[in-house]
Amino acid sequence: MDTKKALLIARYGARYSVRGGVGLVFLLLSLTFGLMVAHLTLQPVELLSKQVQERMQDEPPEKVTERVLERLTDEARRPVAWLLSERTAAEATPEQDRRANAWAEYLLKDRPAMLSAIFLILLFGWPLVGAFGAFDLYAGDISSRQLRYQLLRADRASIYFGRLIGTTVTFVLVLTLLGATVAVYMAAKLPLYALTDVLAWTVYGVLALTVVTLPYLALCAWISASVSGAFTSLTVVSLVVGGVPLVAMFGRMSHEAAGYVNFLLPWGFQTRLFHYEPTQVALAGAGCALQTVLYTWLGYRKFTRRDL
Amino acid sequence: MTAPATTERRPAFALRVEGIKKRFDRNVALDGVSFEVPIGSIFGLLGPNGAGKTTLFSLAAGFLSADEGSIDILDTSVSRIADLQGRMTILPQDAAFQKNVPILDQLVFLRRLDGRDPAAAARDVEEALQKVGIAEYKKRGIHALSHGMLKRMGIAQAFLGEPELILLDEPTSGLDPQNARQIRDLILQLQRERNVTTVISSHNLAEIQELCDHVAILDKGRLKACGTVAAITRGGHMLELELRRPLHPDERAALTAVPGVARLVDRGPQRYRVEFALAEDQTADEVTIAALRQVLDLGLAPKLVREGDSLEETFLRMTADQRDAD
Repeated sequence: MDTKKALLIARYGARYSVRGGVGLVFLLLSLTFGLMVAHLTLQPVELLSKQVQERMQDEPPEKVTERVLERLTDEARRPVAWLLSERTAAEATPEQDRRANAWAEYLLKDRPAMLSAIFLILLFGWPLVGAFGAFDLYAGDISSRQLRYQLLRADRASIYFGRLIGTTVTFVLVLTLLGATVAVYMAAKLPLYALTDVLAWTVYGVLALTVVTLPYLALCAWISASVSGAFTSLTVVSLVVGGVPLVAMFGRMSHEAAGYVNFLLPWGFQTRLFHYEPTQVALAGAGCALQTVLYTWLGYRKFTRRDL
Repeated sequence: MTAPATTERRPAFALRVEGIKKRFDRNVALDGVSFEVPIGSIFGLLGPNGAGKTTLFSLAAGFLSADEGSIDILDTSVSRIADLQGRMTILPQDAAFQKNVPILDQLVFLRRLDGRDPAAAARDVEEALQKVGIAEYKKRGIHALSHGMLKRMGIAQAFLGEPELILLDEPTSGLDPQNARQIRDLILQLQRERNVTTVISSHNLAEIQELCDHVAILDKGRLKACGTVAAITRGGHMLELELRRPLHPDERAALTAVPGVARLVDRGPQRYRVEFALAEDQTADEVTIAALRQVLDLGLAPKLVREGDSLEETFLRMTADQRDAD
């Protein structure tokens, strides 16, 4: 691989991705999805805040905020604990319940609760949104034979990795923009937390979402390099990314082991990037890295051997 | 002290195709094709639709991989196509350019992949766009270009840099006569000035005959003929004559009576094809001279004399053989 050429391809790809229709759709979809999640999460809290303020009119603002956060934590603890539960059977064990509650406590009390909720919801929707930004990494240009103009000027490895790097950079930029927008939106609409806490948790959240994005991107690259046609690629990518958790969920109803299908993608462990135990975070990060390497290699192998 | 002598080895052939086979599912696109393209030649690749020309170009450019056989370009195996970067360019037949990106930016990007810095790349692209006559569209997207202009953009892309070998898949199809002429002149200029080898596929046989010194004829994935244009068209042993007036019956009989002339075929109002049937002790040149002498004796000065078939006739004859056999 020629690094210089790969970076040139990456820069060109990142620069012009938004100008193409798909890139623009991805950007708008990401921002709309992020802001919608933020809005839907903040709306009930805003209502709660108003109620508390009306009841505690004579109290100092710090007391009111403290009360709002208390109520918020109480209300959100159960659904968040349910969402994070690691149970494998229909009923969780007491130990699993204890761990889920501790995890929910960490996200809702030790960290800005609203941001935690937003990140958790984003984590569930982002892989599907991300698929829209990466399904056409190669497939469309393979079918239109656009790549042929580059193939005598750059080796296939440079083209493959250059495009992947370019798309990754675009994703990181979009995620950063999304994180910044959500943080500003939250700070402006519901100033319940210290700005430094919000900023620090936003940076962590964007970083975690980026880590989760990488294996999905690599998977999209593999699929996109394996088929000819953007629509086929979009269909396969959507079916795989959306289908894995569905197969796991419904399969688990009849066979407990079907739940492990989730581990083919980061679905099985991605929430642990927001875990209170650093070892869990490290394991989830390592899982993402491993899948990124595996899918990238499979895609590279296909792209460098197929007819273009 | 004298510097050690360096011997820069010149490649023997620009392109060497050996026993190449390629099939797409059940369709055999190429079936054991072998030929060589001499350095500095303009080589025409002829064949009816579906003959395998585009597949051959795609294999030579490394877009596709062959099922069997080998292709060497400038003494480098096509399996190491990365080593040929900058030495070979191609105008693929049906490759699209990017939508929504200005023409200049697309070509500058491609030129920068050749290793040029941005300013030099922009200069090269401007020059190439000037050559093909679409410089005024450089800031526009491809939606502003007609089919012919898109073709010229592709040709500009193929002419970028200093390639030693250019593969042009139907470069003048869809171009008006002026632009087609301009492209032909550019190809000849590249050969003259830089000894660039060009391989062209085209359905315009007159163009190939005018432009190329070597040709290969493909039909249904098989090589029917390969060699210089003169050698291939000479195979028919005949003489094409264009006269100032039609021949009278007695004049026709006199011409047919020349030893070695088999028959006279009407090819138009004043055009005739004199077909030879050479005796063992006769050469084609002797019969040609005798036939021409007879024409002059009849008091006719030929307007046009051509020995052998036209490329079109050779092509039709060769590809018709296969159709008849089928």
